[in-house]
Amino acid sequence: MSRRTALAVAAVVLFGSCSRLGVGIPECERIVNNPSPAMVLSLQAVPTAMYAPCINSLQLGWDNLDFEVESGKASFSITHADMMAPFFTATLTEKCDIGNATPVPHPDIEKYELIRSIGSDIKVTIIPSAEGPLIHARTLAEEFEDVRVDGRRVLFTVDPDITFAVRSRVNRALFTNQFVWIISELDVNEDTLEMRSTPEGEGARGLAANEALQRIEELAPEVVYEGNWYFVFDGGCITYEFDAHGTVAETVADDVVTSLGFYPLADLRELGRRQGIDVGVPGGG
Amino acid sequence: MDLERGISVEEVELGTRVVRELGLVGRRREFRVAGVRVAGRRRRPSGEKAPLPRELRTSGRIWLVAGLIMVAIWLSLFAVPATTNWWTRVDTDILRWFVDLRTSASTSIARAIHSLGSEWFVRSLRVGTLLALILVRRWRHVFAVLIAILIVATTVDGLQQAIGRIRPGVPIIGSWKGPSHPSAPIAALSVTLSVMAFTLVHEGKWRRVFWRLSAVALLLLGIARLYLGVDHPSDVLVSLIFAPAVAVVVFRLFAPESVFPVTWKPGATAHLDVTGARGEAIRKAAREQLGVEVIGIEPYGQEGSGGSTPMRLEVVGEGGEECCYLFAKLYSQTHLRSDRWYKLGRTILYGSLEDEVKFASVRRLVEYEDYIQRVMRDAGIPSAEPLGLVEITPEREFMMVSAFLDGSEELTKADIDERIIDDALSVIRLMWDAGLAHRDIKPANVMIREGRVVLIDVAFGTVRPTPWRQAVDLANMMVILALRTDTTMVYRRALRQFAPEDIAEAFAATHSITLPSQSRSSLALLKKERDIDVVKEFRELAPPAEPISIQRWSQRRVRLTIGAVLACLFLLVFIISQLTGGGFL
Repeated sequence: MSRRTALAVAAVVLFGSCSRLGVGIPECERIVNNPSPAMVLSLQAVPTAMYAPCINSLQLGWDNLDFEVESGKASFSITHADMMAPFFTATLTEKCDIGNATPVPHPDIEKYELIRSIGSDIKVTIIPSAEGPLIHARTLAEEFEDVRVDGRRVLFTVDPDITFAVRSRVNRALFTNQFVWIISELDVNEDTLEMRSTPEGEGARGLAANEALQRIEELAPEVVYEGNWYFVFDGGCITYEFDAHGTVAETVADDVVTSLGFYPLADLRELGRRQGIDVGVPGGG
Repeated sequence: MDLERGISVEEVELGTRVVRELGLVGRRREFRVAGVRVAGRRRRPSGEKAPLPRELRTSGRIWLVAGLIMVAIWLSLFAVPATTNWWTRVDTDILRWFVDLRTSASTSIARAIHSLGSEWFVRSLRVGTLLALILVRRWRHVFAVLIAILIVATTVDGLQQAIGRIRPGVPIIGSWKGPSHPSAPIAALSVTLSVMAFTLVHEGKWRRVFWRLSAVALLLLGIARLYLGVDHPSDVLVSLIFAPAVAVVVFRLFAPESVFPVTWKPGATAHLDVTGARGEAIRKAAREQLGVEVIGIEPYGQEGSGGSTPMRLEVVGEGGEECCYLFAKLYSQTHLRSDRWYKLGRTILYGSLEDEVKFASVRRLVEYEDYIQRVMRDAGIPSAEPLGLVEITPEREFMMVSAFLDGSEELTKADIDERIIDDALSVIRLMWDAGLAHRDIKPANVMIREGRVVLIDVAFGTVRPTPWRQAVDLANMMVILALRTDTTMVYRRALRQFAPEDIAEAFAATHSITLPSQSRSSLALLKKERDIDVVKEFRELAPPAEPISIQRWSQRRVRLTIGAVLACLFLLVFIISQLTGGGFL
């Protein structure tokens, strides 16, 4: 056997045997007497914590990225084939700054949310300028009730308040909805409308309703789910950081609840104690 | 004068005498050749060590044993589960002993020492080292430093992820990052101090002092990490062995001390150190294999030579006194690698115009140069008389010895008249007629000795070259002659030995990359100072000719070019992505 072959064989044996070990991922499944190194390292990073974030099962198309751990912090990220950067990161720390997050009911742990979200539904407000256009607007809303743009539902709302100035109604509508269709007497006669997506600037006038829907397809904002969830408990805090766009964002909130869980570190601490390993004190006591 | 062959009758007689005298060796134990006393040669008996044997020195043995210990630890720790508990128990027992020693004062000291392994400290050492090396343009050392650090960073990171060892099971009172094995901060500081030793500190006393100080620093850091409970003893031990071992291997392979010593002279070229053990080996090898007594070794013309280490040997003369010199060139694995890179670069640059097959060994390289030197002599090309090959280290290091051209000077420094021009051009004519090409005609390789032109450095020479290459030899010779005279005179004299179409072809084949860099810079200087474009003037004097393309495309060239571009891109991405991990940024 040549020196190179011998070295190659040694490397394969060594790394082959090592690859059977590995940090692994922080799985929620509890294997008696054989916890994953990732979970033990999480506990060592935040020895006071009661829980650590863990993975039950990943959704189709999801992939678990590097597990990173250092004293005071343990985190893992999840990527998706459609997105370059991780769309989700779970981080365990001893404390976290929840800022302006609002409390959200949760059965076991204190939960707070600070989320910016753009849903998949596209919202259009139809603003008629007078009585005649109001009837036309209602007809349009009924006609396009089931229409979909790029697979997304389009929800129409007719603003019946024709006594107020159109400008102020447009601004008000754009504050909550993404698109506004303005219908004047002339538009009724010519079967057209004016579409606006921003309060400032000129809208697109003289559009047929189908043309307006095509414009919506081009201009519709991407579905987004961004921000943080915080889970606060004795001796620790888990932060879920979302940065999801597109199709992933549509269901990410529900998917994360299904796919992730909380590993009770008390079990692990007890196991360590039985094996003579010091792995911290719960709740920072 | 033997005009047909361009060498004098005296030289022919001397050459014949050398061959005759050397042929008698073995029957006569002492004789004299060209004033050099040949005191009898000796065959190295089977089993006797070569002049400079390749063997592990003490440091090599230490690293080998340390490496084996490290592999044994890895194998037993992670490949044989039964031993894992034993290692963990031993590690934990040691750590508990440290835990028992903890006091607030000793903890403060340990935390202070722990900062030796911090990213900012290691990073500042690395950046400082690289800046110093870049300042003195020691690029080989820069690359060796980067390679060593990147190998250690990547391997440690890979092993940490692959092994996934948890931190020690004792109360941890220090900061840490990632899995425990091997210890990343110890590895980072170890490799950094090792590359600093190889690149910043001169070999010898000061380097030994530096190694000792580094060892103390690493030992303190290791103890501090054990005290703080962030690493297992086996994590520290493996990193202390592994990281310096990588640095040692990288520097022995890519930047051996004997070729790339620590020097603070900017832009110093890389050459083998011919003093010390190698100097002694050269003396011994020359005595035993050539039968000449070398009493002095002096680097000679190293600034113009990248492919070998040229030197001048002072040897004992007929009366047993110092008398004269021989010229010698030392070839090693480093030079073989340079030759391979040079050929690869040439193939990518303009395709395989000529034979670009790399030499398989140093032996083949020197055998070829010896052969081409003798072919040149046989064809009557005036060049230095070859005196033979000398083996320094079997298969790895050889020395070529030839006569020293005493009293010669570079063509560009000599007075050039019509006779010299004719002589220089007749050398090219001789090579054409003999089916040879020099392939490196430049001012430094064309010497004038006793009013005659002599070619040196024929290593790039070739037999039955492409017509293109022969034409380029002519153009290069005419260019260097015109640098000191004028183009019209050189062209007029060239017409005495070459047809106008030959000259037109020569300059049609001339491109910037066919001109050696020395000629190129001389031409650029002439253009700048006197606004003379020599190549253009020759083209105007010669009959019109279509430019000869020097680009040759082949599947191999395309493959090599794509491979080289991809490799560069990969390397760039890899370096950028690893710089942070390596603690540079």
